[in-house]
Amino acid sequence: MLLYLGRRLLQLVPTLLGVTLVVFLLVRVSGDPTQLLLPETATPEDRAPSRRQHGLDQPLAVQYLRYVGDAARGDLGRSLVDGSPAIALVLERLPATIELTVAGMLIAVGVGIPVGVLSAIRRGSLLDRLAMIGVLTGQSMATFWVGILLILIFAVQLRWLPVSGRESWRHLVLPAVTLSLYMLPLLARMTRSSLLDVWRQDYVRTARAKGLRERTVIAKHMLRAALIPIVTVLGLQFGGALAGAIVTESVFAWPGVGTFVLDAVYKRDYPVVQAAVLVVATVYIVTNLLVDLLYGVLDPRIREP
Amino acid sequence: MSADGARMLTGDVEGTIPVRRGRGSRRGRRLLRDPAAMAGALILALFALVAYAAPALAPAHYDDQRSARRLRPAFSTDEGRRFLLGTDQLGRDVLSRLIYAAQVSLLVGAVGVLAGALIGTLVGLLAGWFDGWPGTVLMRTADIQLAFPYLLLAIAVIAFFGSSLSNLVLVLALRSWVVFARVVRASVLATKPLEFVQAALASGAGPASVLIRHILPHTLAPITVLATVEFANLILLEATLSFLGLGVQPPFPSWGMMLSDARAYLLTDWQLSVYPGVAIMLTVMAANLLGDGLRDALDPQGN
Repeated sequence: MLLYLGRRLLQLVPTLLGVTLVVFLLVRVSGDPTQLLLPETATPEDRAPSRRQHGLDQPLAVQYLRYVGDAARGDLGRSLVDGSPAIALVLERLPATIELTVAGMLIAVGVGIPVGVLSAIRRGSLLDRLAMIGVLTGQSMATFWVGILLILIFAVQLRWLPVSGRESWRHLVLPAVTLSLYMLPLLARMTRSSLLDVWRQDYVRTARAKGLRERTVIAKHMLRAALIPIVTVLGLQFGGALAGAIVTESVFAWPGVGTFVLDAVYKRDYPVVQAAVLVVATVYIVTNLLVDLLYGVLDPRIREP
Repeated sequence: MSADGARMLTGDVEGTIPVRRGRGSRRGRRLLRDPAAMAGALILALFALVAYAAPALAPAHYDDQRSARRLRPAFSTDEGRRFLLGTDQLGRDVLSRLIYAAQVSLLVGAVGVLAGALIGTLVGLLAGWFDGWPGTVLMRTADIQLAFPYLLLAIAVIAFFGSSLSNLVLVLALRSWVVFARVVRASVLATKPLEFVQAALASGAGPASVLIRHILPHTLAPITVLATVEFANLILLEATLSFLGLGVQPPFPSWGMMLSDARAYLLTDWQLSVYPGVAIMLTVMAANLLGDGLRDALDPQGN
């Protein structure tokens, strides 16, 4: 297990380097950053000292290495708007985003997996059909529109829950439900189909033949095997949810990384955009690592090299 | 499909005579008997027609403003003109804007999928054929891209390069090439060792001709299914980016932008927040239904 963990950690390095390279190139390819720092009337000669000061006269490869070196020390530049370190600004907003994402994920798991299991058990029943229609509808609705509809129904018409902000748990309900719809349909669908996949496996038949109760067979034998594809989807969806959080946050004015990065985009505060992309990508990559490790726990065959 | 469709029409007569049917025909009939998939295809065709004929169909121009008739409810009339779905905050006909916005969604979705499928198929063919280090490098690139939360990447690209129709398509193609590359590569790896491929190579056919004439046809079924599903995904993404103000720029309408504008009037004119969302949902659902039907028709064993 330790060996497996070590190998997976090593594989993180090229991925993270690739992510920094993409972010670095995005910034460099899109123009000369000193154009943003200096007045628009500045000539190339005027910009030269500033270019030298920021190391922009060096070859691209040198610039990239310096950028990675700085990033590794946690220096991702300063906000062009208020001059504070970009990374600190992003990390300040990260807990709100993670809170929202985790809450959304819990709802998706808490509803999606039971719906998938019930649909699989009662395959072809009215319940199954309704669930699958629900899944299809959920997959076809734009998440931000679901958020708007929820606000319209529960905040504007019924006045049960607040429209926006982050003060109490009541503020979390609508954004979390909205975000859960990013993952819920696929999760229910995957649970159903992977349970149906293991339905006719020999070991399941053996378990039934042993005289185990159907409930035990499903819970102990089938669900465990079915969990592996479910966990994969969950891991992949977590990244989608992190990104989905950007939109959800914007609908509900949730003070997380999403609203922050959008604001930075509108203000052309590039160091902040960069820092946010790097931070979120890192969270995403680490989550996927955790998912891979979870496989090892679920399926002993994966642990062996 | 059209050839299959034609054969389908004469199918009953043909059925009594022992005619050897191709696999394509059987798949086509399976698809035609799937009411959900056919409904999806029909809705998509209808929307495409509406988008294409927008200037003729739309009752008004998409940017025909008049403050005197702001925020009218559905079925209202003004100076003898009828506004079936009412008007928006600038007095523009909502129905006309919905119709013109279909152009953006369908065009951007279709071109994005096409570009993604072309790039992805090419990369997949190469990565599968040269499965040594070149293939590894190509697939690693795909992995690194998957390591990015896509929406954030899209936002970053548009933030740095500005929002325009071509950047929008670029960003959407950037998302979909990876899925195509993976599926095509897997398919190449599976077909390459088979006898007919080796036979073609032994008879002197070059790698390019083997790839295109012998291997590519085997990947067409999964590519078709993927393209339909990705089309649905890209339409949702385009709507999301437009909602965030990163899509097509006003005054040309898009469904996402209309929803974004409507937010300010949620308390008083909530109907403005409903129509564009329904349009998005219908389009995406139609593509998903067609995609599911295609998958079942091409791979009857799958769940």
